[in-house]
Amino acid sequence: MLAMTYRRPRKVRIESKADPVILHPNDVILRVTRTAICGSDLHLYHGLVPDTRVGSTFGHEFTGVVEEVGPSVQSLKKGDRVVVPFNISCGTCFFCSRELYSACENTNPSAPISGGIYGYSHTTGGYAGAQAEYVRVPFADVGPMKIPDGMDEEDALFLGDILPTGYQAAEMAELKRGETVVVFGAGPVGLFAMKSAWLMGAGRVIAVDGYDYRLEFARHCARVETVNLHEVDDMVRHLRQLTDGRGPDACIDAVGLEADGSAINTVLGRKLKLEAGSPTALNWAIDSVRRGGNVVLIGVYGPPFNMVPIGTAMNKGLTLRMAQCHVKRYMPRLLEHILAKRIDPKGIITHRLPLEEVAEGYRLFEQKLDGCIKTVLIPGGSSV
Amino acid sequence: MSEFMRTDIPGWGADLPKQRKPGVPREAKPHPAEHSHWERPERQEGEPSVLMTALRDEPTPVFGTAVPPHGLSGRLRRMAYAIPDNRPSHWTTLLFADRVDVVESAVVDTLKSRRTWAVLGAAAAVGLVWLSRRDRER
Repeated sequence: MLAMTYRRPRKVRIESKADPVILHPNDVILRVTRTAICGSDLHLYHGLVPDTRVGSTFGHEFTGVVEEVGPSVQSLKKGDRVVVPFNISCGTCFFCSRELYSACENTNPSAPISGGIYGYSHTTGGYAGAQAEYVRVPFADVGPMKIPDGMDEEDALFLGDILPTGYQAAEMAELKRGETVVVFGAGPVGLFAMKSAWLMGAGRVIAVDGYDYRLEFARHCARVETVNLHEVDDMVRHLRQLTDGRGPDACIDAVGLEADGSAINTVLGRKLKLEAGSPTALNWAIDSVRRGGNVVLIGVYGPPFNMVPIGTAMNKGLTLRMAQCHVKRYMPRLLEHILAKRIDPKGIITHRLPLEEVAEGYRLFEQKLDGCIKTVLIPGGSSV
Repeated sequence: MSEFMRTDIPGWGADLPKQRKPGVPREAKPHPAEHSHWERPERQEGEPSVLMTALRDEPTPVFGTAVPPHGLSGRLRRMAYAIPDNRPSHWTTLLFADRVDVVESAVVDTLKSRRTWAVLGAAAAVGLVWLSRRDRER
């Protein structure tokens, strides 16, 4: 089969690899029909995630058709169309039984900090990702959700990661009716956090980003106020001025470890790797949110540590909430929102490319070219 | 504030009530996931090539098999996984192994490339011609 393969930082290419096989009785093999490049894939692409091996295939946002079924699989059969959570979850361990699916203790032997994830370095279990023609899906009776008949795969695709991630963020912000939330990062996850904040009853939603075209997209797609971080001298002061001098009620960091905006964090984190990336967005969130407010962290950060103003957070009495999304928990409710047309997930797709052009897809997405918001790859045999 | 509404946003406030929020409470009352039919999952067969955290004695029931560790980078990765995850040296050793992996792979790619051997062959031919001419001049 053809599969995306990582060669070195900022170099990926398409290669021929062996097809995946059933390794566990509850595995299925999917023929991938749609697979997206996630903002967090860029951290792998930049070589910032430990144990990213040359030859790895990335990709944790995907839909597919069941091609082969393991002997213990009961809920799926060949030909079923499914969307798959990026978490690999057993469904019955201490964490899965409490619906904390991203913390499954039966799918990641390599690190205690999370459960297994498709195509996200060997610290998440060494699973091949789905930027390929076929992918192995463990615990197929638990994870995958069937796509309703008549529903476009591209409407379902983002149910596997970025839509529930944005939604969980807005939920963790614990917004009360009419409150103000600032979302740092107007990428796909940030856009879904903004849309979800309206579902949660927000009064104002303010997006912060460094690219005018992304802010324009956010204004149009999510109907939010916007701030360009390059047009503001002091972000914290600016956000307080926008919110009666008190600060927003909640802030959501949908940027993660490659944030712009601070030279010292960029040098120490992204260049010298003396800390795990640049926590600039998180620092702005902690500094600008009102006393007693909520800070939500859903941008990806990695080990070992970062410089964060924890003293400020303590003295302001903040609540910090964070998690890798427990996708399966949110899929049913979000499917209802899609079917009721409260959310249009497909609306953020700006680029569709054949899988063979994966290198170009990464280039467009990374360099923010051609108005790129979200790139979806389409393996051969599926319609472009 | 209790009467605040945004009628211009489709679906505004649809999930205001707590009972509509799937993630509330944060930890659900323990129950097995729908369609799961095991208490403890069966174990995946085969000897895992995936490296385990120093905190584990045995692999998880399910594990990945992509890109086993190899070469010098593989030795570095084994060293890293012998260090507990809470120590920064675990992660810095892995990042260093990643860089070694890139160099190793580039060398292997170069040696496998027909173009490399063609260039080497041409260089060897030129070198031999030059040497033989030098010998004749002497």
